[in-house]
Amino acid sequence: MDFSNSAYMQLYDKINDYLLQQCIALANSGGGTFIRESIWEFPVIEGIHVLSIAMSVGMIMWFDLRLMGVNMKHRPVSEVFHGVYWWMIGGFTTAIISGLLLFWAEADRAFPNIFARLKFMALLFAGLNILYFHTKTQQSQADWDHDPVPPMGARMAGFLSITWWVVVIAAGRLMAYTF
Amino acid sequence: MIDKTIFAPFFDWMSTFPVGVAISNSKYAFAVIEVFHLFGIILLLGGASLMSLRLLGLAMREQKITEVSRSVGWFTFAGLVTMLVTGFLMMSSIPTKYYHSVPFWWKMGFFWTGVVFHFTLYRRATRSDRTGLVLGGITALLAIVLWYGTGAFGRAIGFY
Repeated sequence: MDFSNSAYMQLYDKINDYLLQQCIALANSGGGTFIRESIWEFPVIEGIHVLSIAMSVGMIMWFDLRLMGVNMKHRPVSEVFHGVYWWMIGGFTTAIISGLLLFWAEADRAFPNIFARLKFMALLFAGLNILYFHTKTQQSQADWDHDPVPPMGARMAGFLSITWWVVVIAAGRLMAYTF
Repeated sequence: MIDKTIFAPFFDWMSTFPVGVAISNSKYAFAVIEVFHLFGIILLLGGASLMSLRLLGLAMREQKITEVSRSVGWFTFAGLVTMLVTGFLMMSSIPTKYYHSVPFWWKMGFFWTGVVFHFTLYRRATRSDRTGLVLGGITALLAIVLWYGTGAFGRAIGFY
């Protein structure tokens, strides 16, 4: 069967084409051009992006490992969470801001890139994982806050979090190779 | 300052190192190794950051210094080893590029100072609960400057 002319594919092509045009316009805007053609701004923003990711993932990781029952097993889950909370928020906010600036400069090349799409997808899943953990799994946290090894749901949340960040970092690095 | 030409024989040897040649002949090997290099950096920076924040009294104050040290120490060490192995592999694939890169030599300066610091002052400060704010603060700031500096110069190699 040939799906290439199906209604779905036509719709996909239309959306894809529309977004690509928007991304081209974004990259060619004054701000995008300025960042891209700058001597030192672009490298500095990219440096900040990499180091802030290291900071945020490096902090999130300790909470994920605690959720998985691997590390800091004899401290309450909530204590480990509060210990890293503001640092991971700070690192993540910096990573998002610097990432948006980089996207602004190279949106036309990032949008069609398979690794960029993989990175955005992984970010989305990481977000959904946090949302599910916060709204469902965490509701019973009082029951397992002191457990060296938390229940399956919490362990899964930690494992999935690390997995999605690994994909984000790998895809993020690989997208720069395929621009 | 050390004259970099004393390292020239090492770089010459690396250019004939079969694994390095294989990496430079492969389309994806370098990229994949660099991804693992980043994972190593995350472990090292994540460990050194949390430990430094604890020494400064800015995070995990409920835990003793030695408790945090025991929890993150092995991850930090694993990150260091991963960085070293993958870094060597990357270097061996294009030794002349690194030899002529200015940020590379800055990175090496920060990195090896970091390694010496890691096994001396840092080790001493993080393995005692009596480490005060002065020794702890100096250790934390040094750890942050040395390891984040290593990362920043490493990123700069790609540009300059």
